[in-house]
Amino acid sequence: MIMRPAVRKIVLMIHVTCSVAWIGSVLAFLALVIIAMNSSASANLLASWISMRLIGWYVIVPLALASLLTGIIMALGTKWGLFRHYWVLISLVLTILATFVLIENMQTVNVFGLMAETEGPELMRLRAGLNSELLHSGLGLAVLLVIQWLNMVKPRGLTPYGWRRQQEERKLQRVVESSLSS
Amino acid sequence: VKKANIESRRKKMSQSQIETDKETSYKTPTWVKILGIITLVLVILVAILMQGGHNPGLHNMPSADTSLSAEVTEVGE
Repeated sequence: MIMRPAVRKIVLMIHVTCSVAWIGSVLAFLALVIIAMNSSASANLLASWISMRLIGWYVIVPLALASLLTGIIMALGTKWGLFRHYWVLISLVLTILATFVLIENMQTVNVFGLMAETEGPELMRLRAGLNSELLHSGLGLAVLLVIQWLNMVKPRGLTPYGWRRQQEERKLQRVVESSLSS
Repeated sequence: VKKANIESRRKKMSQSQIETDKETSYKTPTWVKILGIITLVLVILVAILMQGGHNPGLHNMPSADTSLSAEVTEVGE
């Protein structure tokens, strides 16, 4: 079902806002990781883990879910479709993958964040845990930038399903044209 | 005469369209192939890392029985 232009614009605005904000919040997360890694002060380490947990659950995860949902709505409500074009399909797969890894990684961040809030936290473990977060947020950012590139450039290329649908539509169009002319 | 000309043009166009459709078979775009190769390499790398003991979600998970406070009290005693 194709959306009306006014509805499409609103959904597109929400989708773009959520997607860009997702990248921004991952950058903020990455900045906290780097600050904690390069600081010898334990206060910075603890504050970073607490902030990472809060940013993760209250900003990054909701933005990821909103971005995924609005992306699906946009694809289904426009001519692009969800499985017709490679750029849409790859964006969808990468977004699902990024969201899944994010939620799984948040379980670890949750444990460390809660540990940082308690008295007598394990500083060595908290410091060691930062390596994994650097990897996750760095790779996550790279994936999000690939998705953004796909959405901006929209490289040409139909999927086998999209190609079949296009052929069917062309045939139908020809039949309609020939019946109208006769 | 005009109608006949239009009809013949339409027929020619539809015939040429059918011919071009027959000729053009499905091809996977080059950029998709490149992206596929990059993804495959990354998946292999992740698989190698996982074989080396890196288990996503479970790495660096702290255990409850070895807290710093417990260690400090032990040293103090």
